[in-house]
Amino acid sequence: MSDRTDQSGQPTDLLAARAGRRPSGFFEQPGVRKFVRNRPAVVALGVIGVFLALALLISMPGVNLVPLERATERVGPDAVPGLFVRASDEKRAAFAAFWVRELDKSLRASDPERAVAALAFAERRIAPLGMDTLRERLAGAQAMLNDLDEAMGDAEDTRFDLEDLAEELADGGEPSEATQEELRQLRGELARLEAVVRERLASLENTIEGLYPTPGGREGFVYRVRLLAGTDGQGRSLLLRAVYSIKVAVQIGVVTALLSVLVGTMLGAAAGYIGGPVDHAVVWLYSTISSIPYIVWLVVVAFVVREVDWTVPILDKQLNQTLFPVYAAFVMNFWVGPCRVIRGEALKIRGLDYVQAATAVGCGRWRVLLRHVLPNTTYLVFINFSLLFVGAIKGEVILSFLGLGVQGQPSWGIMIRDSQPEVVVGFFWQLGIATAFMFVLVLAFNIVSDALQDAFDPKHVAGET
Amino acid sequence: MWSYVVRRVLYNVPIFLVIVLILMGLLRINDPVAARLGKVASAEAIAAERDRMGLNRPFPEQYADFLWDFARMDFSERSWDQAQTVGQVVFPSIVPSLSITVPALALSACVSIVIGLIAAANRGKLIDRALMLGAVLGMCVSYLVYIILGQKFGAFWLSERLGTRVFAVQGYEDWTTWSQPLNALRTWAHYCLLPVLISVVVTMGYDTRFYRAVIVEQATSDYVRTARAKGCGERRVMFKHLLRNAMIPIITRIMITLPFVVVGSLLLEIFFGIPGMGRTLYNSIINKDFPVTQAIVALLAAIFIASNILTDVLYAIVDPRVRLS
Repeated sequence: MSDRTDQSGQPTDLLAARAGRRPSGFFEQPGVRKFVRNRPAVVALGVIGVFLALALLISMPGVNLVPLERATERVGPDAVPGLFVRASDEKRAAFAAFWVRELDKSLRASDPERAVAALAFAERRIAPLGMDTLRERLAGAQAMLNDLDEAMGDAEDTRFDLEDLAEELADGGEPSEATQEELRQLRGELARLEAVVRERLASLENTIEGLYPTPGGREGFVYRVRLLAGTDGQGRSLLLRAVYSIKVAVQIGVVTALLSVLVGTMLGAAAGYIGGPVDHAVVWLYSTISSIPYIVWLVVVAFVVREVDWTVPILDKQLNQTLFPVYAAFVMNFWVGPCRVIRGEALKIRGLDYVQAATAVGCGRWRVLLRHVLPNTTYLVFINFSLLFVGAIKGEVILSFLGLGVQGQPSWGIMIRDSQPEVVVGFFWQLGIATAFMFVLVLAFNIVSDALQDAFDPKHVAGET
Repeated sequence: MWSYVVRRVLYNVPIFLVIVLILMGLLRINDPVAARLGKVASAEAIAAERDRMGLNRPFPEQYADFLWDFARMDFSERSWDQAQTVGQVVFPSIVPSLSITVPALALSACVSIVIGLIAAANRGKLIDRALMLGAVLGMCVSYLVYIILGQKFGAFWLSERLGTRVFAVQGYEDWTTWSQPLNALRTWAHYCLLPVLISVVVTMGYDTRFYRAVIVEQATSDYVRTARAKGCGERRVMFKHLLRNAMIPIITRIMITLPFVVVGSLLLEIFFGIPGMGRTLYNSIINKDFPVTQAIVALLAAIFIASNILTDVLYAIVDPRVRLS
């Protein structure tokens, strides 16, 4: 029943039906209507659109939103936290040590003039101060670094002493006057040392700011964007890597899902509609593929294709530097799903009246297949595309972890893999940003596939596959 | 019933043959000998090595040989990589694998069915929506993220908090001693419980959605209404009528995941350094130790086919309407 009515108060659909018109526009179809009424699904579709647009902007040669070099260059020290969160004193000292070390390395190079001139981390460059001034300031910074280290060591020792004393007190009942006094003294000492550390750290950071001035204006803005999500273990911008990975994920998802759905639909429709030996052959083929855990084929195929010594002609790259091994592994596994579902649907449609009517009026086999059977499986094609897209993105993480995935460019899988040692020491930014990006895209696809299923297959309950 | 089983076995023989054929063919696309010996190896050395591996025989002969050995369950072929037979490499990896997969499968099925039941019983209410939202959100995070965070918080963080190491960061120790069952259990929990829990959490999203769907479908069917109409209690309807009918899809689900779980824990085994079948398989592929790869994949295929047939037999036991013919 439609809630839209015309002036006479009658449902428009009814009027249309009386006029001999059936709802023909795309948006008038009941399934599409139901889908459009599902708010989260429409929003999810929009999110997918944004991701696709970003992927296009990144890969289009003219635009090049995030070039690969930008995602792989060093922009600062290792493991800087994102959102400009203030790091711990130890980490700030390590960051300062990084800037000092880089300048020291350049000044010791065989051609210091040129090395110093080339000393730049994205937009943050060395100040144009002249070699002598730089040397002088470097010596000052190194001395400050040593002082800082010393103060931090002292503070650490005091902290240990304090802990020992606290443990002693916890063991041995009522504390004596002397221990109380000692405790108070140690606490005072620690507070004093911490103040010294903070002060030295601040002045060291000031010196470094003088050596590498933070750029202002537009450059400064760009530099801050680079550091928005922090840096990884090699000082590369996490935000740019995660954004660049959108392109990789969309590329893998679109290519594998499209190919798998294409192969699966053709074989499935042929098997279901034609039947006979074709059906037997197809069923037997997919039984073969699905008789082995999917991850085994995934690993075997990805590994074998990677090892093939062949230069891809157009790209002029070794095969294992491209994404072909990943595509091959996924498509080999993924075509089975759509094939199975569409074969079942084609079997069902074959027996329906309208197909028999079409045959009766003299439609050829191909015409029936292309005009009557396939169009009625369209929603299954879309649902499967969306499911396989998610499967490909998640599978990429597993392949990358096993070292068989993406090569030579960042991807969410590679970021998650690289984040493992960082997570152990308590740095979550790399894991967090890669997971967050992936989460949004996968969630959008999951919502869309659920909504498609709801809209076009009313008997279906979410979760059944 | 036996004639049915025999027919099913015969039907699956060609599938098995083709799996082995595809696998052996794939593994021989790139010359394994040259890759193993490196670029500097002389032609004679390569020829000698090829002879030793038995790769100079025609492919049909290698194929037939492998099948004949497998049919007799003879795993005495030499592994290329280690001074061991294939059997010596493969068989010790079975127990470590099972000590993760069996508890994981059982636990995740129980937990997921219970949560699915709760959600289905409260269909449309807040608790159902919250559970299903949680399941969808949980499905959107990569397996690897769960593993990494599980190790961080289960092994590192928890040990720091409690002062003792509850779960191992990595590693495995043989725990199967029957003389001290409590000790054995403790060893098992130390090394295997964390991977099991991670695996349960990962599969829970998919499984609860599936079980809820199954139960909701049953709950809206006529026989449930009839049972209610004749005055059955809610509990009786749930367990006597509903769950029994839901058993068929549930059994299918569990049996389908059975062989996948064997290697599904491949990631867990590699990450936690547990010497199970998944890790052995992965290492054999990476190290180009193809006799081992072939043996494991053939074993897995055989297990899968066996479990498929077993599923059908189980149907007949659970559902009196099903006749195997």
